[in-house]
Amino acid sequence: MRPEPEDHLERMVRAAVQTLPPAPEVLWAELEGRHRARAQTESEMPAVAAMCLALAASALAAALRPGDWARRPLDLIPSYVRAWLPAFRST
Amino acid sequence: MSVRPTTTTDGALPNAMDQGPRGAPGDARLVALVAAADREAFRLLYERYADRLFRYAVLRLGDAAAAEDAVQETFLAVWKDAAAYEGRSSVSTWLFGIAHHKVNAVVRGRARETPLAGEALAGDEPGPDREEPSDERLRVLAAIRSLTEEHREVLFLAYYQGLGVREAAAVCGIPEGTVKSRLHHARRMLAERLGEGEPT
Repeated sequence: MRPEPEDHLERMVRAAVQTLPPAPEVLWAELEGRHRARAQTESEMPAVAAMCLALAASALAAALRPGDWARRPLDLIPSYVRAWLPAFRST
Repeated sequence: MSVRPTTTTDGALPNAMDQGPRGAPGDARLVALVAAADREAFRLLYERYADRLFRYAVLRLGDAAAAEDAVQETFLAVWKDAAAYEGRSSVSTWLFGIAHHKVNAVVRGRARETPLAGEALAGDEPGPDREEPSDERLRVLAAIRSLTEEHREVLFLAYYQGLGVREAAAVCGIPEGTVKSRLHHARRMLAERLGEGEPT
């Protein structure tokens, strides 16, 4: 169902919008590049997840040692592991 | 892969017999193939819709670079979530619905709305699907540019993309009455600025 029959104003709008630029040719290449990068990141996830779990377990074990109780557990996780956490949240 | 018949509940006909141009797969068939990680189907779907989605994003955002980002995000979402398409609306409505949200995310991220930039309208070289902007068409574009972003959106969806009220409402996530109201006001403002007679 069309809102209204096509009229002069509608034709003018359509003709004007038709003069807007189409999608740039580089867009597909960039899209493919981003798609490949994401696919690679996701394919690495299981290995990274296993590493994170191992390191987190190690950090928690360290936290159980006397004298470490005052430290926040997240501080015990190495920064390069914490850097991966946003990637996990987005998948 | 077998694909269900492509009837939709929003009254749109996605593609008769789900056939694309010159016997190519129809839109719904392409989306089903994309859901099965078919990269060629993904490319075909991109070729079929990229220009329209880009113009939609440019018209709303007034910024070609931001429009490119929005279109990329739209297609990345399509690749990731194609299986979520259930055929309840046309593929066109579904795609513009995704693009609507991606453009909204850009709009929300801005401190203020960027005016529709002249360079985004001028573009570079005329492509095969682009007509030369005459003085009259530039005047119409300037009038469209002076409208609010919401009014530009409904004008594009109704008059360029050819969506009906129900489909446009589904894309924007607003009631059908709001689409009609926005279209009515957009027409009136446009007619005023172009000096065209518009019955009130």
